[in-house]
Amino acid sequence: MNDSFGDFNATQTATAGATKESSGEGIISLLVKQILDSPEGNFKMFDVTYALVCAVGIVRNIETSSTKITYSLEDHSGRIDAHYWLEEGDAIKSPDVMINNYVKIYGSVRSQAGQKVLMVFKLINVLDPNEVCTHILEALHSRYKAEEYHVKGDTSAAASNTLMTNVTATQSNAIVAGLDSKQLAVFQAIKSNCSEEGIHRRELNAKFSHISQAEMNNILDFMISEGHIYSSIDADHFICTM
Amino acid sequence: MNVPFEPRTLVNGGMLKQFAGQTVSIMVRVESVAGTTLMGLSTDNQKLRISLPSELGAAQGAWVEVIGIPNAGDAIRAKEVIEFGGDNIDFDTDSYNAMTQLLNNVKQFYRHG
Repeated sequence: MNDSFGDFNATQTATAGATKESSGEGIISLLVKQILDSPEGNFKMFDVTYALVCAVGIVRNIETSSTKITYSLEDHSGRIDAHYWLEEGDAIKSPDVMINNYVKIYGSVRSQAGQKVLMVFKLINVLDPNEVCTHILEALHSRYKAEEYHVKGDTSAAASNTLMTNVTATQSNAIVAGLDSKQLAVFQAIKSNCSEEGIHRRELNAKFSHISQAEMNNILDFMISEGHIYSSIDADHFICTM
Repeated sequence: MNVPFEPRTLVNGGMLKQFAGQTVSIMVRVESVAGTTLMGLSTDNQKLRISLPSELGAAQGAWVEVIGIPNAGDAIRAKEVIEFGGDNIDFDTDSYNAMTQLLNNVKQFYRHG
């Protein structure tokens, strides 16, 4: 592992002038052309900034200097230089890479003299063509999922950087994933009830007259089985889990 | 960098006709190699005849990436062949076929906001 960038979980970056806002989180799989086309700074897509990118391509050239090794990485969409910085005595530890073989690179995107380059954190040899195919599918998925989240707006809070769809929030604006609109409405009603013993099934039926008792019971059973609510003083009083 | 970069399209057997004369990249399973002629099978089970720039040492059954120009629905003039290090690769042909279809049919892939 190239440790020269230190702890990259921190939001500060090695380059001067990088603000906390633009340093981003997470890793996104991309094609080379997407990296080349991106605006300055860390890679950004649909208003979400990523700390690292993952690219898979063929090594076309390797140039070694005393401070770094420069790989020329190519996929079907483009070619980009990737710098692997060497620490003292690192010549022995440099990656074992062959020309015209596939590698996977994790790194950050930087601009150098108007050209995009990759700063390599990790370089791995790819021995299985399935990995190449998977990478392209990941890139496709990320691109369209990012657009979908962007279009949906900020209604699904947090976690947009990691593109995870299962989020359980605990704040007062709780949006619990896996619940449809009716279930969510019932959940909100239970949540907003402040009494110790919770809200009675009867009250929920009255509140949601458009939901039949049978359907309400199904909704409550489902939410109990998922762990979102539980029954309190008796089987007809419900409190939500926090 | 010896050779300047040329963009290419990822395709499978059925798409070769559509890209005649253009540079493509296609995954091929080696059936037999004789000198500079490679007989291969695409991921959608099309038999392909590939003319190579140089001899290829790949084993029968191995999957290789052929970069070159198709000149018919079933023949390619290869510029290069990329081999993978692994042995006995179980290449997921369904995923590859799906991937080529997606890549060539999605809208504005290179848009970023």
